[in-house]
Amino acid sequence: MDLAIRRFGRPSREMVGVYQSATTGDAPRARFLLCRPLGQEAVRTAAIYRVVGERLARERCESLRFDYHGTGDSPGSEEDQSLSGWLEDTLAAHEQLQTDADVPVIWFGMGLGATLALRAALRARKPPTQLVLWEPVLDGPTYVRQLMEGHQRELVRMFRVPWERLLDSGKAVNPSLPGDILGFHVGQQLADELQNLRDVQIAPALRRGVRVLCAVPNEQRGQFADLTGHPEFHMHNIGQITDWMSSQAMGTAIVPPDLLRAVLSTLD
Amino acid sequence: MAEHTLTLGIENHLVATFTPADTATSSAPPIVALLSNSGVIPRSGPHRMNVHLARRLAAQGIPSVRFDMSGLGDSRRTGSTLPVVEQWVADTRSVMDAAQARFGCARFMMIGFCSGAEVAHLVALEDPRLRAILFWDLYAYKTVQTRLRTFLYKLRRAGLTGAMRKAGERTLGLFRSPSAEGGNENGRAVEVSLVPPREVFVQRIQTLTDAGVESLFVFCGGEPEWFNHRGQFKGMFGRYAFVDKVAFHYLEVSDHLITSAAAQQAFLDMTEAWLKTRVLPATQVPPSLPLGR
Repeated sequence: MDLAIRRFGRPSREMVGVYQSATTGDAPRARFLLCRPLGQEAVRTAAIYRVVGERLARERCESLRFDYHGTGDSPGSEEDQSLSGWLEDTLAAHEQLQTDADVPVIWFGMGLGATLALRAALRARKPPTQLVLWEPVLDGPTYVRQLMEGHQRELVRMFRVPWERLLDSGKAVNPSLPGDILGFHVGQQLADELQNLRDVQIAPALRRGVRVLCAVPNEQRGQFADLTGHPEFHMHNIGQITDWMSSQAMGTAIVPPDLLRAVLSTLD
Repeated sequence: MAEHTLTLGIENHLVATFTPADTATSSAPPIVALLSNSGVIPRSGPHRMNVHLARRLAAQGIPSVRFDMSGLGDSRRTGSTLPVVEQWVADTRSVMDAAQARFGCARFMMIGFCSGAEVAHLVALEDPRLRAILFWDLYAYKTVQTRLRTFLYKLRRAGLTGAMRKAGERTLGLFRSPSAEGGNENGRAVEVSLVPPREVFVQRIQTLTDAGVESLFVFCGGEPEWFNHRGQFKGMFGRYAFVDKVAFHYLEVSDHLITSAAAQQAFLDMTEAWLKTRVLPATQVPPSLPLGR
């Protein structure tokens, strides 16, 4: 189960990725691109990406997990980033996997990483064969509101005093975009793009021949009613909801078992 | 800045990113910084703090390496049967070997966030190359004033009725088996292991101080039941000889994960000041006593 570092992307948008080979030397069954969510969610889900990579390796699959430019361990500054830039990053990462036409390439993304993957799949010269979208961000303004609320909730939990007292003491300021939120800086372009992020469309990806597995909480299933019955579209109901924006239980690594099953189901 | 990420370790299981100093010189740097995990947070650090630190240090001429210990971030678990903390100590020493070969410097400082601080002091007890440690929210021991402040904090939080209810529950608890409470006299665990007895920890720090290891103890302002006032550090350790030889900072503006922009800036400024006033001057002085196995 070998790890190899991949440094890729344009010189001005370099990224760092970890390529995990299969445990056996046989030809891989599939290659997976693992697209992280952003900010605190990327931190909280880091263990998932390692565990998924290791599990896939045992299934004779290769995977690439990477940090978008300006995030995680990759070069770049947070304040200069944008959804459009990260979409290009996703496509650049995809190219790292397209070395053998016979091996299917499957993308897995969580949160905003899932949304970016869906959009990138419409732009890819050769799209992935399958997409696994885990809790994709379906509405930008709602996501921004969740970030704001998560920011307040997190600081109140960490300092263990009410928000108003935190403001009075100078230990916190009301979050705003652009600005600092949940420990990460969001610049003007990203703030604008998040506010305008609406109408996540899966049908165009299906028309490109991409099989889609979408995992959402039960209350969001209705948004995909028009796709019910489509042979290449599958829904997964997430029973146990986890707040990935919170550092609660930061000493533990949570990997939902149904997430692993969903990823592995793409090999059936 | 030409950063390099690579895998290393005897099983090639560790992922580490090396950041050189911004300005290349022919001589070796005075010290190399080690940046690692805090709990399960990957090598980029809490809110990417290790990345910010690496860039800030590079500008000061200090190279660094940020890395994931076994089973954290991108690093794989090993086939070793070592207990987890011992494995992390071994991982850190492997990274030091690689960094020494790369940067040509055998002196290291480590920024230890929480569980990383625990690993850092254990590494320093084994390896004399580790010459300076920033301990972030490491072990705290309750003093009389800490307990009083904790009580007042809880009273304020729960209100008089809630406090009386809890006091009643506590009184009832006296009649239960002690093991049913399951609490730790010293407070919380540092994410990985339980807090050692104070005398054990004091002996370790005294050993490091005698060997000339620079220490900066930093506690955040977001742990009202753990470390809740500036004077607690003297209250905990004031009667021990090492206390006058280490630095201490109460970063009240910050929570445990250094979330706000103000806290992040204060942390970076504090670290840079410590580097300039304590760490770099100490690199001119040879170690006082041999350490290590």
